[in-house]
Amino acid sequence: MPTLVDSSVLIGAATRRDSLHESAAAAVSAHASNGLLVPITILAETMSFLRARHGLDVQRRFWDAFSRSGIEVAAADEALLGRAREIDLAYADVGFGFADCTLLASCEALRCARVLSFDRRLAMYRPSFAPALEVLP
Amino acid sequence: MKKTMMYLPEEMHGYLAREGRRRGLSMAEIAREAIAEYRSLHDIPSATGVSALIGVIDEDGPVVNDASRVDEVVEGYFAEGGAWDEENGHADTRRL
Repeated sequence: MPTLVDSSVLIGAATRRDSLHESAAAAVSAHASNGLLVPITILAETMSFLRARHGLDVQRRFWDAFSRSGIEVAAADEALLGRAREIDLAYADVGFGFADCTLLASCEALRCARVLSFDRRLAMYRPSFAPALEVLP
Repeated sequence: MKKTMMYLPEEMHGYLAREGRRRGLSMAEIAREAIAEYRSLHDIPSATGVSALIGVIDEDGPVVNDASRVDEVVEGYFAEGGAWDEENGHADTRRL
């Protein structure tokens, strides 16, 4: 089963001086052999973060590295965006936000119950196809 | 950023100055762009697979907590009067 990856783990794995770097790097390394997937919306969020935090040069360096990483990008079509909005409505009190809702909708579309993220709120989501969402590390 | 000094051949110095004037950038900005592109090109054969991504942002500095504050940073960047406004010349008009 492939594993979906959230911005927090991508950023943690890429940033050597992040307090969560070792944990994030170990997580992506451990799950890479089964396939890693990043929804395009999460990749966009990651890129926006890197531009905001470090500037264009670092964004481009990450971009090049990501292209070589073998991590697959999961597309977001109208159906997925619709499902994401349904999740947003169902979990309005949690306030996941657009990017996280599309991540959770991708879990549903791909029947993937494992996510690499430091956002523990994601574990509050109850998938339709599994008893719980496994949020690691 | 760290300050540094280097010697350049006159021709290279002249090119930096002309290119800076042409694009409305400082010589330092052009030099940083060129170094970033050089680094990007020369890093390509060095790693593939997820190891290419691990530690790719390797700037020196104190420990940061970026991985646990993604939303906060993005919201601050795009907030009214934030860095995005400043970079795009909107900071003053927003205050009017």
